[in-house]
Amino acid sequence: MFFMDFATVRRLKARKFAYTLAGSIPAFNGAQAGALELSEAIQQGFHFWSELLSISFTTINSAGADDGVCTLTCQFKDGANQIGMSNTFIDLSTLSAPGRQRAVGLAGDPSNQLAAFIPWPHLYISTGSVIADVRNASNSANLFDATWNGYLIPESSIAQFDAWVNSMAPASPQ
Amino acid sequence: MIRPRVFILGAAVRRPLQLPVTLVSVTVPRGSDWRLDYILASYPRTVAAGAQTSPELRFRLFTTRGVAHDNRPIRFGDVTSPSGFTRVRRSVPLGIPFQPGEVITIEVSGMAAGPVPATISITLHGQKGWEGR
Repeated sequence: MFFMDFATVRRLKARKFAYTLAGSIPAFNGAQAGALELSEAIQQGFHFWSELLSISFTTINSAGADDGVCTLTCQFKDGANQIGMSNTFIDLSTLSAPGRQRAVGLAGDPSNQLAAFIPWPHLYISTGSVIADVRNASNSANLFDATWNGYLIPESSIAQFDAWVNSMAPASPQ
Repeated sequence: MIRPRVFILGAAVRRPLQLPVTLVSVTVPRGSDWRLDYILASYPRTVAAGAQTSPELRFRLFTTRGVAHDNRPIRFGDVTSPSGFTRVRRSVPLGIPFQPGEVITIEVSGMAAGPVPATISITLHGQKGWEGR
């Protein structure tokens, strides 16, 4: 289990924290060709131990209708790893599957009701950033909203954090 | 010092699902061992003809070590899915260690007869660095 227990939180002087990246991913046929990179630097003097990612997004198709089909892909990065945290742009429909089936969609009434909680046990180091490089295949803009829940770890406690992580390491491969 | 690092392998993104069997492959990146924690997959409930479908999908993992790791079903469109939603997401917990450069082949098989002109999205979620590389 990667959730930090309260005794460890106190020992590390960790602080509950959340980073949120949100924005409107531009249309594919626009000047930005459907690409938007959202970024938030880690607070100075701290590392960020992320535990959970919650995410939601809209599903507006090229005609401006809400048809419930995901057109967003995303590559998550941590600002310290040039190849990112995935080998490719992953389809956000695997993280959350929003969308109500409607005969006629409403551009101003997006269906982003479903939220998904994804385990995201990752240490963003103090010089890094929480980054989502989002691409939109629709000719209409789509909204993206993601929040990482976790703890800020003071630089002075990082050795204790490493010891805690190692104490949770699983057994050797089968 | 070993620190776990989230790393996601994307596979079969928006690939047409040709039932009864579709095979997709992905390579574990070099530089670090990687533990596959769970698979996330999503699949639309509405196929091209507009009909609702609820195929039962099974995943099997083969590796370059010649091991068939798992054969767990993921059921889509079952009674727990909210009616009216067009796409269903399911996750399968695994916890399988892999070595750098290892090729993972995922066999997706379904109960539907014939090809389904829909797309399935699969991502493999895991953590690098558990073995200290």
